[in-house]
Amino acid sequence: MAQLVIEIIHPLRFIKEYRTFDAPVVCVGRGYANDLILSDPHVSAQHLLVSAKEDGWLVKDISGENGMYVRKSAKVMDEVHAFSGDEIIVGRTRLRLLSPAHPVASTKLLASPHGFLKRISYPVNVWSILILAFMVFTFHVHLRSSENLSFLKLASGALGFLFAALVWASVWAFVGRMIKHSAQFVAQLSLSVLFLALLLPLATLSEYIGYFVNSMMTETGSAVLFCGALFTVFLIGNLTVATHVSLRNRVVVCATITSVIIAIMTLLYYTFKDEFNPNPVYYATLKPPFMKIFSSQSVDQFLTGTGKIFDSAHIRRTPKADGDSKSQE
Amino acid sequence: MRRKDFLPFLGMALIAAMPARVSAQQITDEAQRLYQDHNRSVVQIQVIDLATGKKTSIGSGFQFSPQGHIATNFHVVSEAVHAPSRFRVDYVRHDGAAGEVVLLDIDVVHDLAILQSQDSPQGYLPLGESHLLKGTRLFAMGNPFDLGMSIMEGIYNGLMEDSLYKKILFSGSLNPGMSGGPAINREGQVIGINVSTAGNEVSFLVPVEHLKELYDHVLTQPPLKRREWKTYINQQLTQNQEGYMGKLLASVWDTLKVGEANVPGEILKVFKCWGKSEDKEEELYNYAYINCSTNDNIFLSPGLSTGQIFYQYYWMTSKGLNPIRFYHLYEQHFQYPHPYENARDKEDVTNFQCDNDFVRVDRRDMKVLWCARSYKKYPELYDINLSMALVDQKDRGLLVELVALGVGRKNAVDFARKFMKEITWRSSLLK
Repeated sequence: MAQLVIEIIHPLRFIKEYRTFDAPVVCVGRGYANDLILSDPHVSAQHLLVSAKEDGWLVKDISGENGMYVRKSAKVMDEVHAFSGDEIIVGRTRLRLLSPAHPVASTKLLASPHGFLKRISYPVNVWSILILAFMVFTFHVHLRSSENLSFLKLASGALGFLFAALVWASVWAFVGRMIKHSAQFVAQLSLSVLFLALLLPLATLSEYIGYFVNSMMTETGSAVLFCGALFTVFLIGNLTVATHVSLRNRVVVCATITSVIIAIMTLLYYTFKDEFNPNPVYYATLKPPFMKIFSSQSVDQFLTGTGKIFDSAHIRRTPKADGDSKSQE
Repeated sequence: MRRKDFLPFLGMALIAAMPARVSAQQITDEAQRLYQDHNRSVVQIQVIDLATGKKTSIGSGFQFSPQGHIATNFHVVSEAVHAPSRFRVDYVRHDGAAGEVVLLDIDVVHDLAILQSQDSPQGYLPLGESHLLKGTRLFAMGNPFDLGMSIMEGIYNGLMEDSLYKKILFSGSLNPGMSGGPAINREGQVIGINVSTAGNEVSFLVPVEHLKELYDHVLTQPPLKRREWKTYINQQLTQNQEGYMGKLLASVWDTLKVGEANVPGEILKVFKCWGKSEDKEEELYNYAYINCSTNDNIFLSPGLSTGQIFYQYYWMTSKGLNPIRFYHLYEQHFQYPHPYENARDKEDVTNFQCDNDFVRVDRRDMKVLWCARSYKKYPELYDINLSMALVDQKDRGLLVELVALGVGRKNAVDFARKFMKEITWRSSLLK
């Protein structure tokens, strides 16, 4: 074999460099007379001689100082018969000897939207999603309006949601333009609109769940769970369209972002929650009677079961109150 | 529950607290004579902040015994009762002479306090009888707005029968600063003690009999130590609520109709109900609204009062709305609780604790929210809130809110039970 490729892996491992040699013998060392000059201070001035053989190379340590290791045996050796792909360690530098015919791994293809993410940007799907979302938004506005709104007013309410989706899609299109050189705005817009169109029914669903089990905690919990999961899934979609990040990393990144958002919101809620509220804070959600799950209690059962509100209405006396009573003595 | 800019209450303000319109009084010769005879017996009461040495609040008072006993309102001296280490109480006579007084006894329910001055009085007012003929002329004395001792002529209009604490209705104008002053008849006998006003010459006096009872207590019981005031007030409040809640629970309740429901109405004479309904073309629903309340409340400190009971009903019928939409509107009316103006300070009350469930009320399902908070200084007393919504009809609903301030736990639960059981549906709703 006439040609030799040496892959140099520097001590910090991050930088790889390749050198090709045509000569039958290659000298390696820190000295400037070498064919391959290494800047590693642990390498001798003349360290190795690599001479071509029939099926590989003969590597000789000519320094007698720090020696030479062969990666696969991890022993100090004076001389070794190396094959393509073997690693030699001199000083703190690793050298991998390769023949030009050494096989390479198959090409890693750039992550590109396929399946659902590809189909979402087909014009017919885009228009269907937009129309569906528009209907969901208008219906949502209609259900929550306290007067009969004209179609124009309903539509302008729905436009608010569409605008939010537009802003979100633009951000991701920009990211895609920077990273992948392809904005994919239509795909991002479809994703964002679809996200909002699914978010509203899911939020409503959590209201119903909370109402039927009679617990504000359940309502909040399920809303956070549903919306968090939906947000993660759609954020993964946004990332897939806009970046080359691998699936595993996308999932990790999106789940982390969602968790951080939830954590910050929880923290803010508890930070700014009033310590004292002169009015009762109660769970006043009311839903139509079409889906009654649990049977009602009798008046007596209810009043017996809720006696604990009187017990927990007492709180431990604060030290300040104690101080007051002392000063009155 | 939203009250829809509808306030039927007769607003009553303590006259140490709320400025009212000063209207010109025609001073007759009689008033002149009474003033000359009795201004020596009437004093101004000042609560002095020990840190600044300046007065923080003023009221009036009068001497009613040769031993130097002075009567005034509890609300005039409440700060000194609650924080005796920060305040002292002084009196100032008509001639400017001043001195410190000692607090002997209080009656928070009737808003009275008896003080003892160290100096012997120059004069005192004898205590009379509050049962007079309507139309009898009375003369209220006091020091309005710290402007100087004054006398006001007015008419005795009887005892308010429809009230938990029967006060004398005095048709004359009482102004801030006159609290605790005497209202005397032509003979110079005390008939009542100035206490509050609703403005426009509608004012209230505490009947003198309550002062006599309190004076008996002063003469027969050993004086209280400073630190016992809290327990003493607690005892008075507890006893008082046991009294009226007992009456309330034992009575047969009058019911009234709202929509398709029969609900408790003016359950005792002391409750007054007001109603309103609307059926507007452009609205998406019709409603009928009724609220009932007692007018009495007990002053405890500038930020804390108690003793009121209040309930309201809101009947809503959909005009063909989709149930989801109707329930959204219905829910909006359910979300705002009664504004608890009686205590808005965390020094006075705990947070409300709430529980909720679906409850079967006369064969129909209601969502019931049940909340209570306790008074930090009087832990046996609670403010309660019972909010209910009919939830098994697609196109109509009834919202109920019951609020009782300063009641004991057992009474609160019994009252809520009786209240819920008194709600029944008309046959059209039970089909």
